[in-house]
Amino acid sequence: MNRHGNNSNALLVEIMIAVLFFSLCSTVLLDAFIKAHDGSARSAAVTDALIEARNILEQLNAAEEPEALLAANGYAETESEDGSVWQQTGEGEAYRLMVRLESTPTEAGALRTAHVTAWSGASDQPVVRLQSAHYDPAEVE
Amino acid sequence: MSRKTFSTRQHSMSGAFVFLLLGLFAVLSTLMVLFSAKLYRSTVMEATEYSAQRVLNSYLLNTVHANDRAQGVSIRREGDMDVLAFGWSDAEDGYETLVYGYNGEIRELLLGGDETFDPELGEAICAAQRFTPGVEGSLLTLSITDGKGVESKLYVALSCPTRKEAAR
Repeated sequence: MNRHGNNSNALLVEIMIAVLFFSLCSTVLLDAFIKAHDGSARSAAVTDALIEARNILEQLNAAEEPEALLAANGYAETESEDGSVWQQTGEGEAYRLMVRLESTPTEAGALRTAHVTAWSGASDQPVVRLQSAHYDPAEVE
Repeated sequence: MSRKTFSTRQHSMSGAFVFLLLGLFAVLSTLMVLFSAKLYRSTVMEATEYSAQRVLNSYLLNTVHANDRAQGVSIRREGDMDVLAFGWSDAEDGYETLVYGYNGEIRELLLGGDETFDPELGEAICAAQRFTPGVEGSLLTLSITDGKGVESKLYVALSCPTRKEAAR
């Protein structure tokens, strides 16, 4: 009877060790999948930010009044020494955008430059930086 | 005798507990594998969808910019669909590339000047429920509805007017 009891206990201990080992493996696996999911969400936010940055840049190139376009798209102007700076005010987005407009007058017109910067989540490091220049010729008298 | 019966019952209870524990572990492990497989599948699917979206947007943006010359980009009606056309079609030996939505896909078709348009012949670029090109002034608007029914818009600024605009 004693031998039976010892065998049963040994089996129980063996199974407990196996369960512990596989539980540890499962924890590592779960952690890896959660990291993969987070990485996928971050990548999605960067893609969305890139598409939005490109779109606003293209719209600015075609717009006659860039400030009005930005205001209509939910951007708010903020004070800055580097020209006109506009930031997206929408909440709940996985990214945020900032647009800086510059206008350099020349003899034959004005060179309009737009810089678009995007950040993902709470990161301080920009994920997208785009720039475009558009020449507005002055009217010939 | 009764002591022996009690001991046998205790032994079989202990064995049942061990197998119950083993069974619980097997069930939890299976659930874990199923959950992980589901998570993995959704992660890969999302990454594939975003990759396809990035490729499509880059393709459309670069193709429009590359053909942004006088009458190089146009939108016209072919049957019951709006088609985005690049290149020249007026010359006899001219070729043009057509991009359109057909049968749940965005397709591309290279068409010679004397060939007629057949949407079946186009090569699939990516899956999309709907593709609607439009133009407002010098801004080309491409509206794309993906497989899940989510609509996104791609804007492209044109330096030259489209054929449609130039004809006005």
